Amino acid sequence: MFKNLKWKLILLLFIVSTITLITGFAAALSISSRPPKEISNTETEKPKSEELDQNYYNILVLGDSLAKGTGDEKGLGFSGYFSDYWKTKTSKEIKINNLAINGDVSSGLLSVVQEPQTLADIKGSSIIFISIGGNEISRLKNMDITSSTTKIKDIEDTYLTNLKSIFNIIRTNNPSSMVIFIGLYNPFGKELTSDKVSILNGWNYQSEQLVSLDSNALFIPTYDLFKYNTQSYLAADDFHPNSTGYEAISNRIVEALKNYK
Amino acid sequence: MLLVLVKNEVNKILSRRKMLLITVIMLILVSLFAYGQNYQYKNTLNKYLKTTTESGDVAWQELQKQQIQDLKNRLNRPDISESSKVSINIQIQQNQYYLDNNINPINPSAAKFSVKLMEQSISVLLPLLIILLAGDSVCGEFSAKTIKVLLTRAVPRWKVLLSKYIALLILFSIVILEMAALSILISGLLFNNWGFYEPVATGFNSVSGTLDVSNVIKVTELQYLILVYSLGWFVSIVVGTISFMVSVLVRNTATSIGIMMATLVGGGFLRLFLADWPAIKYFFAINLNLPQYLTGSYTPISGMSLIFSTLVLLTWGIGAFIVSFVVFTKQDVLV
Repeated sequence: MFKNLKWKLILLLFIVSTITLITGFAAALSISSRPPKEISNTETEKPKSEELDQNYYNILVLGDSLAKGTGDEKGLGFSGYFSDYWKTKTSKEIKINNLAINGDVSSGLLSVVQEPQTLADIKGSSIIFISIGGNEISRLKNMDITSSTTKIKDIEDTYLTNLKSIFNIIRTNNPSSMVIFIGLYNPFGKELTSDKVSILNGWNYQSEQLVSLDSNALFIPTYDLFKYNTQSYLAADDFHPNSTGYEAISNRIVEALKNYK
Repeated sequence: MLLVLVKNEVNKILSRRKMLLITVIMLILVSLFAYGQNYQYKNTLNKYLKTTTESGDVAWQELQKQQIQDLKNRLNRPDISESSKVSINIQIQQNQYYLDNNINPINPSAAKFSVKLMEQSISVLLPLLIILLAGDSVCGEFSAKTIKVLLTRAVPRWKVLLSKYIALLILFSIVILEMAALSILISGLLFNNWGFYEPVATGFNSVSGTLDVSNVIKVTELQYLILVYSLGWFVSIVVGTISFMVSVLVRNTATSIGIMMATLVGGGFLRLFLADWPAIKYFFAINLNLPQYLTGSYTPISGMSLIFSTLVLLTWGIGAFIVSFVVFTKQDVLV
Protein backbone atom coordinates (compact mmCIF):
# COMPACT_ATOMS: atom_id res chain seq x y z
CA MET A 1 0.00 0.00 0.00
CA PHE A 2 2.71 2.43 1.04
CA LYS A 3 4.85 1.46 -1.94
CA ASN A 4 1.95 2.04 -4.26
CA LEU A 5 1.38 5.49 -2.81
CA LYS A 6 5.03 6.37 -3.27
CA TRP A 7 4.89 5.23 -6.87
CA LYS A 8 1.79 7.33 -7.52
CA LEU A 9 3.42 10.34 -5.91
CA ILE A 10 6.51 9.90 -8.05
CA LEU A 11 4.39 9.63 -11.20
CA LEU A 12 2.40 12.71 -10.24
CA LEU A 13 5.55 14.74 -9.55
CA PHE A 14 7.00 13.54 -12.82
CA ILE A 15 3.98 14.54 -14.87
CA VAL A 16 3.59 17.95 -13.22
CA SER A 17 7.27 18.82 -13.43
CA THR A 18 7.57 17.59 -17.01
CA ILE A 19 4.68 19.74 -18.18
CA THR A 20 6.06 22.80 -16.36
CA LEU A 21 9.56 22.25 -17.65
CA ILE A 22 8.50 21.66 -21.25
CA THR A 23 6.51 24.90 -21.15
CA GLY A 24 9.48 26.68 -19.66
CA PHE A 25 11.82 25.31 -22.25
CA ALA A 26 9.55 26.39 -25.07
CA ALA A 27 9.32 29.86 -23.54
CA ALA A 28 13.12 30.08 -23.22
CA LEU A 29 13.52 29.12 -26.86
CA SER A 30 10.99 31.68 -28.01
CA ILE A 31 12.55 34.46 -25.94
CA SER A 32 16.01 34.01 -27.29
CA SER A 33 15.03 33.40 -30.89
CA ARG A 34 13.01 36.55 -31.49
CA PRO A 35 14.56 38.61 -34.27
CA PRO A 36 16.26 41.80 -33.09
CA LYS A 37 14.02 44.83 -33.31
CA GLU A 38 14.96 48.08 -34.94
CA ILE A 39 17.85 49.50 -33.01
CA SER A 40 16.66 53.08 -33.49
CA ASN A 41 13.83 52.39 -31.03
CA THR A 42 16.16 51.97 -28.13
CA GLU A 43 18.58 54.68 -29.05
CA THR A 44 16.00 57.41 -28.94
CA GLU A 45 15.26 56.49 -25.34
CA LYS A 46 17.56 58.57 -23.22
CA PRO A 47 18.91 56.84 -20.15
CA LYS A 48 17.23 58.25 -17.11
CA SER A 49 19.40 60.20 -14.74
CA GLU A 50 18.68 60.43 -11.10
CA GLU A 51 18.74 63.62 -9.10
CA LEU A 52 20.77 63.78 -5.93
CA ASP A 53 19.06 63.75 -2.59
CA GLN A 54 19.20 67.31 -1.25
CA ASN A 55 18.85 66.08 2.31
CA TYR A 56 22.53 65.34 2.07
CA TYR A 57 25.47 67.65 1.64
CA ASN A 58 26.69 66.30 -1.69
CA ILE A 59 30.34 66.31 -2.69
CA LEU A 60 31.28 65.27 -6.21
CA VAL A 61 34.74 63.98 -7.09
CA LEU A 62 35.83 63.93 -10.71
CA GLY A 63 39.03 63.03 -12.49
CA ASP A 64 41.81 60.46 -12.29
CA SER A 65 43.29 58.03 -9.79
CA LEU A 66 44.32 60.84 -7.46
CA ALA A 67 40.69 61.86 -7.17
CA LYS A 68 39.72 58.22 -6.77
CA GLY A 69 42.10 57.83 -3.83
CA THR A 70 44.35 55.20 -5.37
CA GLY A 71 47.31 54.37 -3.14
CA ASP A 72 45.56 55.21 0.11
CA GLU A 73 45.80 52.18 2.41
CA LYS A 74 42.67 53.40 4.18
CA GLY A 75 40.80 53.82 0.90
CA LEU A 76 39.54 57.30 1.75
CA GLY A 77 41.39 59.59 -0.64
CA PHE A 78 41.62 63.33 -0.04
CA SER A 79 37.85 63.68 -0.38
CA GLY A 80 37.40 61.19 2.46
CA TYR A 81 39.69 63.08 4.84
CA PHE A 82 38.17 66.34 3.73
CA SER A 83 34.62 65.22 4.49
CA ASP A 84 35.75 64.07 7.93
CA TYR A 85 36.63 67.68 8.67
CA TRP A 86 33.75 69.24 6.77
CA LYS A 87 31.24 67.39 8.97
CA THR A 88 31.63 70.17 11.50
CA LYS A 89 30.72 72.82 8.94
CA THR A 90 27.36 71.50 7.85
CA SER A 91 24.29 70.21 9.62
CA LYS A 92 23.50 67.77 6.84
CA GLU A 93 25.10 64.38 6.45
CA ILE A 94 27.86 64.41 3.85
CA LYS A 95 27.63 62.16 0.84
CA ILE A 96 30.55 61.71 -1.54
CA ASN A 97 29.94 60.72 -5.14
CA ASN A 98 33.23 59.60 -6.56
CA LEU A 99 33.09 59.36 -10.34
CA ALA A 100 36.84 59.36 -10.82
CA ILE A 101 38.39 56.82 -13.17
CA ASN A 102 41.90 55.47 -12.69
CA GLY A 103 44.18 56.52 -15.53
CA ASP A 104 41.76 59.06 -16.95
CA VAL A 105 42.93 62.04 -19.00
CA SER A 106 41.19 65.35 -19.69
CA SER A 107 39.41 64.09 -22.81
CA GLY A 108 38.05 61.16 -20.78
CA LEU A 109 36.85 63.49 -18.05
CA LEU A 110 35.16 65.65 -20.67
CA SER A 111 33.10 62.69 -21.85
CA VAL A 112 32.32 61.76 -18.24
CA VAL A 113 30.91 65.20 -17.46
CA GLN A 114 28.74 65.03 -20.57
CA GLU A 115 26.89 61.94 -19.33
CA PRO A 116 23.38 62.74 -18.10
CA GLN A 117 23.98 61.12 -14.72
CA THR A 118 27.10 63.22 -14.13
CA LEU A 119 25.20 66.36 -15.10
CA ALA A 120 22.56 65.52 -12.52
CA ASP A 121 25.30 64.96 -9.95
CA ILE A 122 26.90 68.30 -10.84
CA LYS A 123 23.57 70.06 -10.39
CA GLY A 124 23.05 68.67 -6.91
CA SER A 125 26.55 68.99 -5.46
CA SER A 126 27.81 71.78 -3.22
CA ILE A 127 31.48 71.03 -3.65
CA ILE A 128 33.09 69.57 -6.76
CA PHE A 129 36.65 68.25 -6.67
CA ILE A 130 38.64 67.85 -9.87
CA SER A 131 41.99 66.22 -10.32
CA ILE A 132 43.12 65.73 -13.90
CA GLY A 133 46.18 66.11 -16.08
CA GLY A 134 48.55 63.88 -14.12
CA ASN A 135 48.30 61.05 -16.61
CA GLU A 136 48.96 63.38 -19.51
CA ILE A 137 52.06 64.86 -18.00
CA SER A 138 53.45 61.65 -16.49
CA ARG A 139 54.54 60.69 -19.99
CA LEU A 140 56.88 63.64 -19.73
CA LYS A 141 59.39 61.68 -17.71
CA ASN A 142 60.52 59.53 -20.60
CA MET A 143 60.16 62.12 -23.32
CA ASP A 144 63.03 63.65 -25.22
CA ILE A 145 62.19 67.33 -24.82
CA THR A 146 64.46 68.88 -27.40
CA SER A 147 62.76 66.99 -30.22
CA SER A 148 59.24 67.07 -28.91
CA THR A 149 58.63 70.55 -27.54
CA THR A 150 55.86 71.06 -30.07
CA LYS A 151 54.28 67.77 -29.08
CA ILE A 152 54.14 68.78 -25.44
CA LYS A 153 52.68 72.12 -26.46
CA ASP A 154 49.97 70.24 -28.39
CA ILE A 155 49.16 68.03 -25.43
CA GLU A 156 48.97 71.07 -23.17
CA ASP A 157 46.71 72.94 -25.58
CA THR A 158 44.20 70.11 -25.88
CA TYR A 159 44.32 69.70 -22.12
CA LEU A 160 43.53 73.37 -21.56
CA THR A 161 40.69 73.37 -24.09
CA ASN A 162 39.24 70.26 -22.46
CA LEU A 163 39.53 71.79 -19.02
CA LYS A 164 37.85 74.96 -20.25
CA SER A 165 34.94 72.92 -21.64
CA ILE A 166 34.69 70.95 -18.40
CA PHE A 167 34.42 74.19 -16.41
CA ASN A 168 31.85 75.50 -18.86
CA ILE A 169 29.71 72.41 -18.50
CA ILE A 170 29.95 72.55 -14.72
CA ARG A 171 29.04 76.23 -14.60
CA THR A 172 26.08 75.98 -16.97
CA ASN A 173 24.68 73.25 -14.75
CA ASN A 174 25.63 74.62 -11.39
CA PRO A 175 26.71 78.27 -11.12
CA SER A 176 27.07 78.32 -7.35
CA SER A 177 29.02 75.23 -6.29
CA MET A 178 32.59 75.45 -5.05
CA VAL A 179 34.94 73.88 -7.58
CA ILE A 180 38.30 72.78 -6.22
CA PHE A 181 41.04 71.86 -8.63
CA ILE A 182 43.99 69.85 -7.34
CA GLY A 183 47.30 70.86 -8.88
CA LEU A 184 49.99 68.45 -9.98
CA TYR A 185 52.98 67.38 -7.98
CA ASN A 186 56.21 65.77 -9.14
CA PRO A 187 56.24 62.13 -8.06
CA PHE A 188 59.60 61.43 -9.73
CA GLY A 189 61.77 63.61 -7.49
CA LYS A 190 65.22 64.25 -8.87
CA GLU A 191 64.64 61.80 -11.72
CA LEU A 192 62.80 64.60 -13.46
CA THR A 193 65.33 66.95 -15.00
CA SER A 194 65.00 70.66 -14.30
CA ASP A 195 63.79 71.53 -17.81
CA LYS A 196 60.97 69.01 -17.37
CA VAL A 197 60.18 70.37 -13.93
CA SER A 198 59.73 73.77 -15.50
CA ILE A 199 57.28 72.27 -17.99
CA LEU A 200 55.35 70.78 -15.06
CA ASN A 201 55.29 74.13 -13.31
CA GLY A 202 54.21 75.84 -16.51
CA TRP A 203 51.40 73.34 -16.81
CA ASN A 204 50.31 74.02 -13.23
CA TYR A 205 50.49 77.77 -13.88
CA GLN A 206 48.24 77.48 -16.94
CA SER A 207 45.73 75.42 -14.98
CA GLU A 208 45.77 77.91 -12.14
CA GLN A 209 45.19 80.80 -14.54
CA LEU A 210 42.21 78.99 -15.98
CA VAL A 211 40.79 78.16 -12.56
CA SER A 212 41.26 81.75 -11.36
CA LEU A 213 38.96 82.98 -14.15
CA ASP A 214 36.12 81.34 -12.27
CA SER A 215 34.93 83.35 -9.30
CA ASN A 216 33.99 80.40 -7.14
CA ALA A 217 36.83 78.03 -7.83
CA LEU A 218 40.02 77.22 -6.04
CA PHE A 219 43.38 75.91 -7.24
CA ILE A 220 45.14 73.85 -4.58
CA PRO A 221 48.87 73.55 -5.37
CA THR A 222 50.56 70.32 -4.37
CA TYR A 223 53.97 70.72 -6.00
CA ASP A 224 55.53 72.38 -2.96
CA LEU A 225 53.78 69.99 -0.62
CA PHE A 226 55.39 66.94 -2.16
CA LYS A 227 58.76 68.36 -3.16
CA TYR A 228 60.66 67.33 -0.02
CA ASN A 229 58.11 64.83 1.23
CA THR A 230 57.99 62.21 -1.51
CA GLN A 231 59.58 59.67 0.85
CA SER A 232 56.77 59.85 3.37
CA TYR A 233 53.86 60.99 1.17
CA LEU A 234 54.02 58.53 -1.71
CA ALA A 235 52.57 55.01 -1.74
CA ALA A 236 54.53 51.89 -2.60
CA ASP A 237 54.09 52.51 -6.32
CA ASP A 238 56.12 55.74 -6.02
CA PHE A 239 53.47 57.56 -7.97
CA HIS A 240 50.24 57.89 -6.00
CA PRO A 241 50.05 59.50 -2.56
CA ASN A 242 49.62 57.28 0.49
CA SER A 243 47.22 58.05 3.28
CA THR A 244 49.55 60.66 4.81
CA GLY A 245 49.90 62.29 1.41
CA TYR A 246 46.16 62.41 0.87
CA GLU A 247 45.67 63.75 4.35
CA ALA A 248 48.21 66.49 3.62
CA ILE A 249 46.31 67.50 0.47
CA SER A 250 43.06 67.45 2.41
CA ASN A 251 44.56 69.62 5.18
CA ARG A 252 45.55 72.17 2.60
CA ILE A 253 42.01 72.27 1.18
CA VAL A 254 40.60 72.54 4.70
CA GLU A 255 42.96 75.43 5.44
CA ALA A 256 41.88 77.24 2.28
CA LEU A 257 38.19 76.80 3.05
CA LYS A 258 38.43 77.63 6.76
CA ASN A 259 36.23 80.67 6.50
CA TYR A 260 34.14 79.59 3.50
CA LYS A 261 30.41 79.72 4.23
CA MET B 1 2.68 -3.82 -19.05
CA LEU B 2 5.31 -1.23 -19.81
CA LEU B 3 4.20 0.79 -16.81
CA VAL B 4 4.77 -2.18 -14.55
CA LEU B 5 8.27 -2.58 -15.96
CA VAL B 6 8.96 1.12 -15.44
CA LYS B 7 7.72 0.95 -11.88
CA ASN B 8 9.97 -2.00 -11.31
CA GLU B 9 12.98 -0.09 -12.66
CA VAL B 10 12.24 3.00 -10.60
CA ASN B 11 12.04 0.85 -7.50
CA LYS B 12 15.29 -0.78 -8.45
CA ILE B 13 17.08 2.59 -8.63
CA LEU B 14 15.47 3.82 -5.44
CA SER B 15 16.45 0.68 -3.59
CA ARG B 16 20.09 1.36 -4.40
CA ARG B 17 19.78 4.53 -2.33
CA LYS B 18 21.24 6.64 -5.11
CA MET B 19 18.51 9.23 -4.82
CA LEU B 20 19.38 9.51 -1.16
CA LEU B 21 23.04 10.04 -2.04
CA ILE B 22 22.12 12.71 -4.58
CA THR B 23 19.87 14.41 -2.06
CA VAL B 24 22.63 14.48 0.52
CA ILE B 25 25.14 15.87 -2.01
CA MET B 26 22.70 18.57 -3.03
CA LEU B 27 21.84 19.39 0.55
CA ILE B 28 25.47 19.90 1.50
CA LEU B 29 26.39 21.89 -1.60
CA VAL B 30 23.30 24.10 -1.54
CA SER B 31 23.86 24.92 2.12
CA LEU B 32 27.49 25.78 1.46
CA PHE B 33 26.70 27.92 -1.58
CA ALA B 34 23.91 29.73 0.21
CA TYR B 35 26.17 30.47 3.15
CA GLY B 36 28.90 31.66 0.79
CA GLN B 37 26.49 33.83 -1.13
CA ASN B 38 25.28 35.47 2.04
CA TYR B 39 28.84 36.05 3.18
CA GLN B 40 29.83 37.52 -0.15
CA TYR B 41 26.85 39.83 -0.14
CA LYS B 42 27.73 41.16 3.29
CA ASN B 43 31.28 41.70 2.07
CA THR B 44 30.14 43.61 -0.99
CA LEU B 45 28.00 45.81 1.18
CA ASN B 46 30.91 46.47 3.50
CA LYS B 47 33.19 47.23 0.63
CA TYR B 48 30.94 49.69 -1.12
CA LEU B 49 28.82 51.25 1.55
CA LYS B 50 31.04 50.72 4.57
CA THR B 51 27.84 50.11 6.48
CA THR B 52 25.57 47.15 6.94
CA THR B 53 21.94 47.77 7.55
CA GLU B 54 19.96 45.24 9.49
CA SER B 55 16.87 45.55 7.36
CA GLY B 56 16.84 44.53 3.73
CA ASP B 57 16.65 48.20 2.92
CA VAL B 58 19.85 48.76 0.99
CA ALA B 59 20.53 51.56 -1.42
CA TRP B 60 21.37 49.17 -4.22
CA GLN B 61 21.49 51.94 -6.80
CA GLU B 62 24.57 53.29 -5.05
CA LEU B 63 26.17 49.87 -5.10
CA GLN B 64 25.31 49.39 -8.72
CA LYS B 65 26.80 52.76 -9.66
CA GLN B 66 29.96 51.94 -7.77
CA GLN B 67 30.23 48.60 -9.52
CA ILE B 68 29.82 50.20 -12.92
CA GLN B 69 32.51 52.67 -11.95
CA ASP B 70 34.81 49.88 -10.86
CA LEU B 71 34.26 48.04 -14.11
CA LYS B 72 35.08 51.22 -16.02
CA ASN B 73 38.26 51.51 -14.02
CA ARG B 74 39.19 47.99 -14.91
CA LEU B 75 38.58 48.81 -18.56
CA ASN B 76 41.20 51.53 -18.38
CA ARG B 77 43.96 49.28 -17.15
CA PRO B 78 46.65 48.74 -19.75
CA ASP B 79 47.17 45.03 -19.05
CA ILE B 80 43.66 44.04 -19.99
CA SER B 81 43.07 41.78 -23.00
CA GLU B 82 40.71 42.59 -25.87
CA SER B 83 38.33 39.74 -25.13
CA SER B 84 37.91 40.62 -21.48
CA LYS B 85 37.37 44.22 -22.54
CA VAL B 86 34.41 43.03 -24.59
CA SER B 87 32.97 41.07 -21.71
CA ILE B 88 33.46 43.94 -19.26
CA ASN B 89 31.72 46.27 -21.67
CA ILE B 90 28.76 43.93 -21.82
CA GLN B 91 28.67 43.76 -18.03
CA ILE B 92 28.72 47.55 -17.80
CA GLN B 93 25.85 47.89 -20.24
CA GLN B 94 23.87 45.23 -18.45
CA ASN B 95 24.39 46.88 -15.07
CA GLN B 96 23.39 50.20 -16.61
CA TYR B 97 20.23 48.59 -17.98
CA TYR B 98 19.31 47.31 -14.53
CA LEU B 99 19.96 50.75 -13.08
CA ASP B 100 17.95 52.57 -15.73
CA ASN B 101 15.01 50.21 -15.41
CA ASN B 102 15.05 50.10 -11.64
CA ILE B 103 15.71 46.38 -11.40
CA ASN B 104 17.58 45.31 -8.31
CA PRO B 105 20.15 42.63 -9.18
CA ILE B 106 22.14 42.77 -5.95
CA ASN B 107 19.98 42.00 -2.91
CA PRO B 108 19.97 38.23 -2.51
CA SER B 109 16.69 36.36 -2.59
CA ALA B 110 15.74 32.71 -2.71
CA ALA B 111 14.62 32.96 -6.34
CA LYS B 112 17.79 34.73 -7.42
CA PHE B 113 19.98 32.26 -5.56
CA SER B 114 18.22 29.27 -7.06
CA VAL B 115 18.63 30.68 -10.55
CA LYS B 116 22.31 31.28 -9.91
CA LEU B 117 22.75 27.80 -8.52
CA MET B 118 21.36 26.26 -11.69
CA GLU B 119 23.37 28.60 -13.90
CA GLN B 120 26.54 27.58 -12.12
CA SER B 121 25.87 23.87 -11.86
CA ILE B 122 24.36 23.21 -15.26
CA SER B 123 27.61 22.45 -17.02
CA VAL B 124 29.31 20.22 -14.45
CA LEU B 125 27.56 19.51 -11.18
CA LEU B 126 24.11 18.70 -12.51
CA PRO B 127 25.48 16.42 -15.27
CA LEU B 128 27.59 14.62 -12.65
CA LEU B 129 24.51 13.89 -10.55
CA ILE B 130 22.73 12.68 -13.67
CA ILE B 131 25.65 10.41 -14.58
CA LEU B 132 25.55 9.01 -11.08
CA LEU B 133 21.95 8.03 -11.74
CA ALA B 134 22.21 6.83 -15.31
CA GLY B 135 25.76 5.50 -15.47
CA ASP B 136 25.04 1.98 -14.25
CA SER B 137 21.56 1.65 -15.69
CA VAL B 138 22.35 -1.20 -18.06
CA CYS B 139 25.91 -2.20 -17.31
CA GLY B 140 24.99 -2.53 -13.64
CA GLU B 141 22.91 -5.54 -14.69
CA PHE B 142 26.01 -7.05 -16.24
CA SER B 143 28.16 -6.36 -13.20
CA ALA B 144 25.54 -7.83 -10.91
CA LYS B 145 24.93 -10.70 -13.35
CA THR B 146 21.21 -10.02 -13.25
CA ILE B 147 20.99 -9.35 -16.97
CA LYS B 148 20.15 -13.04 -17.64
CA VAL B 149 17.15 -12.90 -15.39
CA LEU B 150 16.01 -9.73 -17.06
CA LEU B 151 16.31 -11.01 -20.61
CA THR B 152 14.88 -14.47 -20.11
CA ARG B 153 11.50 -13.03 -19.23
CA ALA B 154 8.90 -13.02 -21.95
CA VAL B 155 9.40 -9.36 -22.75
CA PRO B 156 11.02 -8.05 -25.92
CA ARG B 157 14.45 -6.55 -25.37
CA TRP B 158 13.47 -3.08 -26.56
CA LYS B 159 10.74 -2.98 -23.95
CA VAL B 160 13.23 -3.83 -21.23
CA LEU B 161 15.50 -1.02 -22.38
CA LEU B 162 12.66 1.46 -22.86
CA SER B 163 11.38 0.81 -19.34
CA LYS B 164 14.86 1.54 -18.00
CA TYR B 165 15.02 4.74 -20.04
CA ILE B 166 11.62 5.98 -18.94
CA ALA B 167 12.48 5.22 -15.33
CA LEU B 168 15.55 7.42 -15.71
CA LEU B 169 13.52 10.24 -17.29
CA ILE B 170 11.17 10.16 -14.32
CA LEU B 171 14.06 10.40 -11.90
CA PHE B 172 15.74 13.22 -13.86
CA SER B 173 12.61 15.32 -13.53
CA ILE B 174 12.51 14.56 -9.85
CA VAL B 175 16.17 15.53 -9.43
CA ILE B 176 15.49 18.92 -11.04
CA LEU B 177 12.42 19.39 -8.89
CA GLU B 178 14.36 18.43 -5.79
CA MET B 179 17.18 20.80 -6.64
CA ALA B 180 14.73 23.68 -7.05
CA ALA B 181 12.90 22.82 -3.86
CA LEU B 182 16.06 22.42 -1.78
CA SER B 183 17.72 25.60 -2.98
CA ILE B 184 14.57 27.69 -2.63
CA LEU B 185 13.92 26.39 0.87
CA ILE B 186 17.46 26.66 2.21
CA SER B 187 18.28 30.04 0.68
CA GLY B 188 14.84 31.41 1.48
CA LEU B 189 15.26 30.57 5.12
CA LEU B 190 18.80 31.97 5.16
CA PHE B 191 18.18 35.23 3.30
CA ASN B 192 14.68 35.67 4.66
CA ASN B 193 13.68 37.03 1.28
CA TRP B 194 11.86 34.96 -1.32
CA GLY B 195 11.68 37.50 -4.11
CA PHE B 196 9.52 35.48 -6.50
CA TYR B 197 7.77 38.51 -7.87
CA GLU B 198 10.74 40.80 -8.33
CA PRO B 199 11.30 41.73 -11.95
CA VAL B 200 14.25 40.37 -13.83
CA ALA B 201 15.42 41.20 -17.33
CA THR B 202 16.11 38.46 -19.82
CA GLY B 203 16.65 38.18 -23.55
CA PHE B 204 19.97 40.03 -23.65
CA ASN B 205 21.84 39.35 -26.81
CA SER B 206 25.52 40.01 -27.14
CA VAL B 207 26.25 40.79 -30.76
CA SER B 208 29.86 41.44 -31.72
CA GLY B 209 30.91 42.97 -28.44
CA THR B 210 27.92 45.15 -27.71
CA LEU B 211 24.82 44.27 -25.84
CA ASP B 212 21.61 44.18 -27.84
CA VAL B 213 18.86 45.13 -25.43
CA SER B 214 16.14 45.51 -28.06
CA ASN B 215 14.75 42.09 -27.20
CA VAL B 216 14.93 42.34 -23.46
CA ILE B 217 11.73 41.57 -21.66
CA LYS B 218 10.93 41.81 -18.01
CA VAL B 219 9.62 38.70 -16.30
CA THR B 220 9.19 37.84 -12.65
CA GLU B 221 11.90 35.89 -10.86
CA LEU B 222 9.52 32.93 -10.59
CA GLN B 223 9.04 32.78 -14.35
CA TYR B 224 12.76 33.14 -14.88
CA LEU B 225 13.40 30.37 -12.38
CA ILE B 226 11.19 28.03 -14.37
CA LEU B 227 12.95 29.05 -17.60
CA VAL B 228 16.39 28.30 -16.21
CA TYR B 229 15.38 25.04 -14.54
CA SER B 230 13.73 23.83 -17.70
CA LEU B 231 17.01 24.40 -19.50
CA GLY B 232 18.66 22.35 -16.76
CA TRP B 233 16.06 19.65 -17.28
CA PHE B 234 16.76 19.51 -21.00
CA VAL B 235 20.50 19.29 -20.35
CA SER B 236 19.91 16.46 -17.84
CA ILE B 237 17.93 14.47 -20.36
CA VAL B 238 20.59 14.84 -23.05
CA VAL B 239 23.49 14.03 -20.72
CA GLY B 240 21.42 11.21 -19.22
CA THR B 241 20.70 9.74 -22.65
CA ILE B 242 24.36 9.83 -23.62
CA SER B 243 25.30 8.28 -20.30
CA PHE B 244 22.61 5.66 -20.89
CA MET B 245 24.18 4.83 -24.25
CA VAL B 246 27.61 4.47 -22.68
CA SER B 247 26.17 2.15 -20.05
CA VAL B 248 24.79 -0.01 -22.86
CA LEU B 249 28.11 -0.03 -24.70
CA VAL B 250 30.40 -0.97 -21.82
CA ARG B 251 30.00 -3.81 -19.34
CA ASN B 252 31.34 -2.18 -16.25
CA THR B 253 29.82 0.54 -14.06
CA ALA B 254 33.13 2.17 -13.16
CA THR B 255 34.16 2.40 -16.83
CA SER B 256 30.81 3.84 -17.79
CA ILE B 257 30.87 6.58 -15.15
CA GLY B 258 34.56 7.23 -15.82
CA ILE B 259 34.02 7.74 -19.55
CA MET B 260 31.19 10.19 -18.97
CA MET B 261 33.08 12.19 -16.38
CA ALA B 262 36.13 12.41 -18.61
CA THR B 263 34.06 13.73 -21.54
CA LEU B 264 32.34 16.22 -19.32
CA VAL B 265 35.44 17.61 -17.66
CA GLY B 266 37.39 17.34 -20.92
CA GLY B 267 34.74 19.49 -22.57
CA GLY B 268 35.61 22.31 -20.19
CA PHE B 269 39.26 22.05 -21.13
CA LEU B 270 38.46 21.99 -24.83
CA ARG B 271 36.65 25.25 -24.38
CA LEU B 272 39.78 26.75 -22.86
CA PHE B 273 42.36 25.40 -25.25
CA LEU B 274 40.56 25.11 -28.55
CA ALA B 275 38.29 28.13 -28.51
CA ASP B 276 39.55 29.13 -31.96
CA TRP B 277 38.73 25.82 -33.57
CA PRO B 278 35.18 26.13 -34.93
CA ALA B 279 34.39 22.40 -34.91
CA ILE B 280 34.33 22.14 -31.12
CA LYS B 281 31.01 23.89 -30.96
CA TYR B 282 29.43 20.63 -32.19
CA PHE B 283 30.69 18.76 -29.12
CA PHE B 284 27.90 18.25 -26.59
CA ALA B 285 29.85 19.19 -23.47
CA ILE B 286 30.56 22.64 -24.92
CA ASN B 287 26.87 23.37 -25.33
CA LEU B 288 25.66 22.55 -21.84
CA ASN B 289 25.67 26.07 -20.50
CA LEU B 290 22.31 27.11 -21.91
CA PRO B 291 21.33 29.82 -19.37
CA GLN B 292 24.21 32.01 -20.57
CA TYR B 293 22.16 32.78 -23.67
CA LEU B 294 19.35 34.19 -21.56
CA THR B 295 21.61 36.51 -19.60
CA GLY B 296 23.60 37.60 -22.63
CA SER B 297 27.01 36.78 -21.21
CA TYR B 298 29.83 36.85 -23.66
CA THR B 299 30.42 33.58 -25.50
CA PRO B 300 34.01 33.09 -26.62
CA ILE B 301 33.04 30.86 -29.56
CA SER B 302 31.17 32.66 -32.28
CA GLY B 303 28.09 31.27 -33.96
CA MET B 304 26.55 29.80 -30.84
CA SER B 305 23.02 30.61 -29.75
CA LEU B 306 20.34 28.93 -27.68
CA ILE B 307 18.75 27.45 -30.80
CA PHE B 308 22.11 26.22 -32.04
CA SER B 309 23.05 24.61 -28.73
CA THR B 310 19.62 23.07 -28.35
CA LEU B 311 19.85 21.53 -31.80
CA VAL B 312 23.34 20.18 -31.14
CA LEU B 313 22.25 18.67 -27.84
CA LEU B 314 19.10 17.27 -29.39
CA THR B 315 21.09 15.61 -32.16
CA TRP B 316 23.44 14.05 -29.63
CA GLY B 317 20.49 12.89 -27.54
CA ILE B 318 18.62 11.31 -30.44
CA GLY B 319 21.82 9.75 -31.75
CA ALA B 320 22.62 8.24 -28.37
CA PHE B 321 19.05 6.97 -28.02
CA ILE B 322 19.17 5.21 -31.40
CA VAL B 323 22.61 3.72 -30.76
CA SER B 324 21.51 2.38 -27.37
CA PHE B 325 18.48 0.61 -28.78
CA VAL B 326 20.22 -0.79 -31.87
CA VAL B 327 23.15 -2.10 -29.86
CA PHE B 328 21.08 -3.51 -27.03
CA THR B 329 18.64 -5.39 -29.24
CA LYS B 330 21.36 -6.79 -31.52
CA GLN B 331 24.19 -7.63 -29.14
CA ASP B 332 24.93 -11.10 -27.88
CA VAL B 333 24.66 -11.46 -24.17
CA LEU B 334 27.10 -13.97 -22.81
CA VAL B 335 27.14 -14.24 -19.09
